Amino acid sequence: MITIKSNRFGAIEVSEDRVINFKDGVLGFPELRKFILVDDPNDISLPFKWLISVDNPDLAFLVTDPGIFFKDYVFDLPEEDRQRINATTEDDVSVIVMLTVPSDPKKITANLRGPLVINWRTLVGRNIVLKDTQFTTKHYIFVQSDEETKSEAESGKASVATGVSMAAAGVNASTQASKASSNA
Amino acid sequence: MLVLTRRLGESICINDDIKIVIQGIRGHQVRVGISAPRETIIHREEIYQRIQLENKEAAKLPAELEPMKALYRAFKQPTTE
Repeated sequence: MITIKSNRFGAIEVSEDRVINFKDGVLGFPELRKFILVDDPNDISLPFKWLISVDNPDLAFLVTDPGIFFKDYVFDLPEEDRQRINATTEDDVSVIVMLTVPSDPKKITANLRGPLVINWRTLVGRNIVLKDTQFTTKHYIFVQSDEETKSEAESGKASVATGVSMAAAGVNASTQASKASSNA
Repeated sequence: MLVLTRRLGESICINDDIKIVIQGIRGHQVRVGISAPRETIIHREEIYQRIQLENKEAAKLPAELEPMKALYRAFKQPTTE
């Protein structure tokens, strides 16, 4: 077990085999290579988790399973990224996305353009960048049909996922999202 | 930074396996062809920067998750508000 101490979460104990190695860091934080993914210590009613840096535990990200909020979120995992996380089958890959929380929590956005893929078998993770996609870095999670967000989406600030359908044929690695929607 | 001048159709080699070809020049735009091994990661820089910025924004955490609970309940059951 290792203990990760931070101001926000206090001391969290995790088993070493829950530490995910991001060999290239996450974008914007290339020096941070090791992370843990944990539930909120005070709240498990929300479908969010914390991705906490082991190297600098005061740095954390609020993340979610994109399938919960965006049923149509599916992408092909590029071969170069697949190799970097040593994924051999679809089941190796799970996908999370980071959330950005502005002062108005109604306007929380998910970054669907730069998801994190994790191979739990090898404990390797990677912040990937999707090419040739209509997904952006800001998609509202709670207010996808709100008039206000629609107008912002049209002005290019954000985009809603409703009605988005990616070519699902020939998917190399489906995301948790696609699994979730096929189970639904 | 190494700076090289190339003409239309000329190339640059990086290691044994990466080749960059100037395919077209029009005004301020240059069309570049890249041959590289399949595992090479190649992106336009702007999108990388956008995700770096967004991640830095995402690292500024909310004080509490409490206000999100009602929003999530409404999201799950949009008809019973």
